[in-house]
Amino acid sequence: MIYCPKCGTANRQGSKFCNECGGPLPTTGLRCPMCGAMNPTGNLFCDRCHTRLIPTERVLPEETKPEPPSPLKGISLPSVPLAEGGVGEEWLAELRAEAEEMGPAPEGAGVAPLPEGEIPPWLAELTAPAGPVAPKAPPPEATVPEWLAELTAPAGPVAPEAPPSEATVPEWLAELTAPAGPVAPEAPPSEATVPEWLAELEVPAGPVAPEAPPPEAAVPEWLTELEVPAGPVAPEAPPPEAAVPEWLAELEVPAGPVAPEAPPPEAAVPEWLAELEVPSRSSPEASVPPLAGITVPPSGEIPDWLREVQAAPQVQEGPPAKLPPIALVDVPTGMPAVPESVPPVLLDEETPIPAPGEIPDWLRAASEEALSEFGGLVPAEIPEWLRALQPRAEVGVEEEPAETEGFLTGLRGLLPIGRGLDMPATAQPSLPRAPSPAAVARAELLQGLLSRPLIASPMAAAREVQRPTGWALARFLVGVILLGAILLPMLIRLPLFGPPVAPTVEALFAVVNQLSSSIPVLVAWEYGPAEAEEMDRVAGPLIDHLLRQEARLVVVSTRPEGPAVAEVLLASRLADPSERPRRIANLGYMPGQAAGVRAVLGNLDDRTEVSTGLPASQAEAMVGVRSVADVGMVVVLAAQPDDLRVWVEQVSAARPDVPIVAGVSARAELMSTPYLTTGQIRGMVAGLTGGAAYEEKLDTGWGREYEYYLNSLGLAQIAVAALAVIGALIFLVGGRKR
Amino acid sequence: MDRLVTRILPTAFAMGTGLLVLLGYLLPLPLLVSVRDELVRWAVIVAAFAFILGFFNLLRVHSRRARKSGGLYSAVLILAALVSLTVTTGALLVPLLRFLGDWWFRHVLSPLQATVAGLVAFVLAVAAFRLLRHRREAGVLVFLGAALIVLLGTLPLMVPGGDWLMNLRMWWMNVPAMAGMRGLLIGVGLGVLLVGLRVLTGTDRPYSE
Repeated sequence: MIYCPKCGTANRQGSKFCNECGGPLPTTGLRCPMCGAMNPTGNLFCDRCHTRLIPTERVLPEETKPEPPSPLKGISLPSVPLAEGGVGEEWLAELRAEAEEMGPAPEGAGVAPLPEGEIPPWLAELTAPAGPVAPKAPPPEATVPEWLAELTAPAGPVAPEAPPSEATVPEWLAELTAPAGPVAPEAPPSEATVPEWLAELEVPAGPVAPEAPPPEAAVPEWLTELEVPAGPVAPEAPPPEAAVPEWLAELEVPAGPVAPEAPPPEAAVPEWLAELEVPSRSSPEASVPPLAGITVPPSGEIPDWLREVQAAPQVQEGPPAKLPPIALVDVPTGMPAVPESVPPVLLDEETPIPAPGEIPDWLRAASEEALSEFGGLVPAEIPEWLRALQPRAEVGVEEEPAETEGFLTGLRGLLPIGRGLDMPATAQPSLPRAPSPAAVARAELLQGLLSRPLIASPMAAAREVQRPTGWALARFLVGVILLGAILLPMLIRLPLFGPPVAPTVEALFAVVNQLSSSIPVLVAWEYGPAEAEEMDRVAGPLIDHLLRQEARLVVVSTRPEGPAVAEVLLASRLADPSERPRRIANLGYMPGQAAGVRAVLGNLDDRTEVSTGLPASQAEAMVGVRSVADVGMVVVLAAQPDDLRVWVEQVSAARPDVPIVAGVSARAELMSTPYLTTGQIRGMVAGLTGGAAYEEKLDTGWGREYEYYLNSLGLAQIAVAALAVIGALIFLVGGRKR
Repeated sequence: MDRLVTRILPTAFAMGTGLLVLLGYLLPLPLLVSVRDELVRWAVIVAAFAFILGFFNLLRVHSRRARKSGGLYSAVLILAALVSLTVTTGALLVPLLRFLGDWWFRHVLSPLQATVAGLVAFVLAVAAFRLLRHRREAGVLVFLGAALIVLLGTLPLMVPGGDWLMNLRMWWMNVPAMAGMRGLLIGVGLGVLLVGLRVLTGTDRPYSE
């Protein structure tokens, strides 16, 4: 249900406009701050986790913010949300609507005077006889309800704002209306909308009409016991003078002489009212309890009879009149105390108003007297659930703030304040404004440590000192062994190794042999000076073979040192330097890794030849070469396996029909072999051994150099293997060191 | 505004350019292919400028360190970088100075880098010697055995059993080592694919703060 913020009408969920007044309805839901679930508008608690959705605001005493009218103040409602579409919501909505119609008049203050044109006719008719002229011109009988016509004269002092229609007055109220004529309620809820429990609460007011007592079954036991003394009791003895509040005495005493000219018919007045009315005309002190719905016309419109009423208490003395039976309902223990919901008595500002929850002495005395008359009445036990709902007037405890939103607007004391428990903590932790001396000292120590120059730690220095001299001797021996293994083949030709074996070289050699004369070959030079000692022995025989096939070499590299390393090798392999422009075009460095490879594959002629500085398109070796599609083969000379991967990926994507061969280092051999077995590369030469095998197969005259390198490499490998075995034996026998 | 510059715009540019290049490969329409090639060319230019930026950043960082105590190496680095820059740039701009550039590369840069790379052999030899000094696990023994097989099996030894060792090495390289290497390659391929997708979808933003 969505309640109209304007008229309070309950509308169906999803409605955008109020069915009653047409006003726009809030359509957004409420998100639970704890669990995040969306709740329909109007929910005070989350449907999922019961977290309060609309926090209550504690009103500070000094705040003078006017509170919205709270016609239901003091009525204990169950804190559990009512079921959707339940009876409780409808009657509550109607009550709220009626309360809003009352206007935002604060408690204890007089009602603002209505403009002349807004006074309803019935009120004008009522006020007319109340004034000085009223006795001479009573309202016509046809325009005044019967019950009101009967009570016109005594109702003079307090004219009702809006007499309820017969159709909307519930039975209990109809019974109460006639005797309560002098203080007609503003707008009692219709019978159909009053819940059962509220009806039970209101029934005790009915003892003034004993003709139609409420059914016993609908009244709690404790209330039933209270009805009997409350109803017919019309205390003969007036309460003591001190029991009547001053404001009440001022109001009631002069009520008698106001309208002696038009007494109501005796037959229409119940007994208790008859008793009340008689003293009201004769007794100097008639007391009228503060009842809801009493309005006082503005001071400018106060009739003369009312002026007399206000002036009379100063001269009237005597015992107070009997209290009306409606005020004699005693408050049993545990019952919701005399409700603070007693509507404000709209008298002048000087009229004292009893504090909420406080029972006037005169009312207490009257109730005790009534109980004594009907002896044997024992207050019933209040069930636990009702006792839990009982509002407690705690001394010194701040008053519960009123609900400002939702369908419980205006009510207070119904829901616990749970801001500290239910609402998530949103306060940001704040740092202390000034750091403590200890924190400052720690910060200075840290800053001093960080500002020190980097030095070896004392433990590392100690270990260095404690390291045995045998360890330094071992490292020295390892170095000597390695150096000897490398240099020994330079001094002595050892017949330790046979011809190199490299099975993959055969395929590469066959592919290169198939190249036609003057065919351009793209060479990716992907190694630098650090790997040049090995890779030059790998790339040399291959470049020799390509040059022997009269191929034109287009060199490019994605490594900055690549073009320079290529220049060194090419210069050494090219027999006739004058043929260089026709045979070789060095296109230099191409940044961007894979992107650079992709770019150069599509625009080989869009670069500059390094050795001549001319555009690649003008280089003699680049005739007819614009992209990778124009080359007969791609040769990748890579020391790192990733470089080979990049080239294989990009060339295969750009031109799958262009064959790829590779010359890789021994380190990259293992990762390059899968490309060879899958056919992505047609041939491969790997490491110094592979280069030596290719050289042997090509027979270019570099065999003596390769023999030296292979012997040095072989002896070094044997030396390393021997060192590993010796070290393993030493540490296996000698024990593990830490 | 900072968020727009540091996060939103880089992410939008990366995703947009990546998707355009990808579309150029998937849908070889002339317009998409031209856009793809142009974007790839831009990437090369940006990479070149990043290389230059890295060079100057290196100078900036080591210029700070050179002022502090123990900054001798940083000072040498800055000096070598400036000399190399001057020599190679002069060799490119002035043909008569080209020999100077070649000499600098052949007799300074190449030997230095080769020397540093050659130290790896010595370090590996020492590590092999100390292999069982701290650990005596089965994995260490397997590693030691594999290293011995590869080291000795690569050589065409003219000793009895040389062929058997070479065949063992070939089996070892083609079966166990290749299996592991293929697994690594598959993992690398999947990783590259995943990284590409994450960058394209903006899940990974290595280019933004």
